[in-house]
Amino acid sequence: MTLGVRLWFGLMTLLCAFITAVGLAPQVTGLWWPLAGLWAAAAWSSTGLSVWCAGCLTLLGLLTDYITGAPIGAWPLALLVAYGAGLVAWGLGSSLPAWAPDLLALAAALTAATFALMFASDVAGREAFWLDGILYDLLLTAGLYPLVRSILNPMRPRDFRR
Amino acid sequence: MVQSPRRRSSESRIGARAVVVGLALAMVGLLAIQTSSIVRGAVNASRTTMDGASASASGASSGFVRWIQGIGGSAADKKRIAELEAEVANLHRWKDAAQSMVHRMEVYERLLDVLGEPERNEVTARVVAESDGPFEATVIAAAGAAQGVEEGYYAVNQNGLVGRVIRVGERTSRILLLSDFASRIPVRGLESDDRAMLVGDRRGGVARLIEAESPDRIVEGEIWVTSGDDGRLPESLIVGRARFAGGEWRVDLALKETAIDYVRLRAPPDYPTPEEAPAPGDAAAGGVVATPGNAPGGG
Repeated sequence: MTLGVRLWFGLMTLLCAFITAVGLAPQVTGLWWPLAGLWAAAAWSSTGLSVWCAGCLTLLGLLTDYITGAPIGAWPLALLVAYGAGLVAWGLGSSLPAWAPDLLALAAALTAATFALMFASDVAGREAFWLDGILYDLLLTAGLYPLVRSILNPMRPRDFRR
Repeated sequence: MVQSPRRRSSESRIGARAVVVGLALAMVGLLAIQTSSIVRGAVNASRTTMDGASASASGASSGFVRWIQGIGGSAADKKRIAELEAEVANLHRWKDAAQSMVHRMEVYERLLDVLGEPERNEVTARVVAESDGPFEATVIAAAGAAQGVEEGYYAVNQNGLVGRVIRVGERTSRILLLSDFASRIPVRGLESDDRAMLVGDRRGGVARLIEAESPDRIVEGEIWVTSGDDGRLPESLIVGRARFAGGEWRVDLALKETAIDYVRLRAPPDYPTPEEAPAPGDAAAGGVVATPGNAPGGG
């Protein structure tokens, strides 16, 4: 991964943190809001396994934990698991039509992240995890993904995948 | 010995996998140790610091949202709307205060010589961030220790009780909303005079009434208020209206009627127990407090 790509991913990490923070503004409370970190996890999985991406996702997850009041470590775990699920999906979908692995990676990332958050809530001893509080946000995240995917990761999958 | 590029690539991939898996396992470990109260205390301290940063970030993003919303509107219109909103909020506060006082007066008239609620510190603050995710329902208000706010203060707005302050930073405080799973408030129905515990339930801005003394007496649409039984909240703060749904009594929370823009943070009644604040005579005599064991006739 070149220095330029790393810097771009770093910049996108900050952008995702900003989008998450905008979701806390009282003016948008009650509206569905995308989970920007999951966009990043799904989009970056097309570049293949990268410690840099994992580091950016961990940092973004920790910021999200503090911003949203989640147990510390819940969102980093969810984003890393989503990234891992995306990588597996890309590996499995390499023989499918060009658009399919991306879709598969997104579905895998969102599903894996949801289960990871539930697991994290359980491990941290939280009384309850409100799935409804995230369900519509996940749908919106999936719906907007095609629009933001090329911004978060402008590289073609072939450029980076082995 | 020179390694082949393929072998080097394979080794670096294994290393990267180890790093990513290690990071994930570290996060699981981090989550697991938060079940310890000591660790949770330390985490809360760091959260207090980060609440200020979150409020700043949310303030900046709030400005961005307002800018987006303001496209197409004139500055004079916006100023007038802001003035009217502030006036309406103020009038609602008076209405709320009047309703509360009327009820309190009725009680006082029945029980002569009842000591009133003591005057306490209070401050109005703007809500700068709201978190309504899968883990908690809280808001951050722009007033903290610098304004005299302390943990345990309660927050009200024009509709009624909003929640309780659970963390205080230098200039911000985090308020646990009544709709959060962790919120538990003793309440009373105004018509039925029944008492129950109001427990947060995130589904659709409602809360559940549990352990009601006489559920049969509860009336549909009845206004429920704080009972003040825990000594941490005054009585007669409106929390919402009762509704029977799903085989149990629920309360449509008043805090969900409008957006929470401003809150009034008030000190709790905080009545000291006789043991904590003995009468002057007892204190002079060494602060000996009668207990069931040493009280006259106490056995």
